[in-house]
Amino acid sequence: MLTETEVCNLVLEAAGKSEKELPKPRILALRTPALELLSKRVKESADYQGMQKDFSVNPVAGRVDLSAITNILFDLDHARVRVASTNQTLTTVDSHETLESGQLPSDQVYYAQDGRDLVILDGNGSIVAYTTALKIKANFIATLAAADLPDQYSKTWIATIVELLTPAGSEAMETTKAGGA
Amino acid sequence: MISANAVERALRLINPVPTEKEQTSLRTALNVITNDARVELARRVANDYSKITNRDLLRTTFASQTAVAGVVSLAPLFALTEPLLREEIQSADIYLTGVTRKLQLLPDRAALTLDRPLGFAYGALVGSDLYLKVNGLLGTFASGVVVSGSFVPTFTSIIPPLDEMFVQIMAEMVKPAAKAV
Repeated sequence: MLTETEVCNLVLEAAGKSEKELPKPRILALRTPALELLSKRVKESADYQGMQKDFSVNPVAGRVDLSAITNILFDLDHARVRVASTNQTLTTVDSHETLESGQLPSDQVYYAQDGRDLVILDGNGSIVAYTTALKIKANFIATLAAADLPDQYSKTWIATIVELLTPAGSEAMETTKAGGA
Repeated sequence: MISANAVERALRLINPVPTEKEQTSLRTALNVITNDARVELARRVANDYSKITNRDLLRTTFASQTAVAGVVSLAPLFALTEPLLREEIQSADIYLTGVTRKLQLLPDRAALTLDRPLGFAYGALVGSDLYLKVNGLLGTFASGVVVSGSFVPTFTSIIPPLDEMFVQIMAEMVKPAAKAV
């Protein structure tokens, strides 16, 4: 991931401005909002897999609380849920109602999103019993602390910071915040 | 065959190729219809006299049931994991202990009361109960009844070449849903 100096120099260059016009602290303060905006945009793009990683979770009574997973950007259509130890893929269904009443085959484990939770139907037909450790491959919000922005997005990150320095860019950030993850 | 394989194979038969988001909906639909598809497979195979070898793959001899006072309940056979295919009972071979000739199924109980040649066994299915007339006598037979007939297979019994037919049935059944998404 780019250093502070690299970010500042690249932003100044891309914006065509001097350090006097764009003070360093202002640029640095926009690194995190730009990472968030970039992460959310990647999640919505066709290239969403470029910013996916595995999150380890331990279901409790057949549920996984997505809101308790730091920096996950979960999308039911794009995420993959697998058993941590075997890599066996759990099958997505569209709703809690399908889990309960869909008479699904018992040779698979199914899950559905229910608000901020994932609900899991085990092979015995119970939706309150599954506890096997899982990993969720999903999009994530890159952070400075984790330095986990893939190199391929460095240029886009710089462009996003430059975008946020403009009034239109700030509006884009506000829209994304209002829309949530 | 396992249900996940059937679902993924059926998904590949759907044209035009669904997007990733559509695949999520279709996977749900395919998983939900698996039970109906198993019944439809049993129905088609039972009626396909051109492929007698396939037909035999979904026929079995069920455990003997005991008649009491000329009535035998077939409810246990309809409640099995691989149940007797009720609508194809006419094509089942039913034998009574001590009677060499195959039981002749009649359309209803009234038909049982008519005079019939002796030496034959007759029966009429009412609900899950099979009423029997043996040697001209109603309400007397009290011994074993063995049914050989078509059954609805679990995934374990859907072996080649039935698997291909099963996958096609699933794809056909989900076609309206595929058009809608």
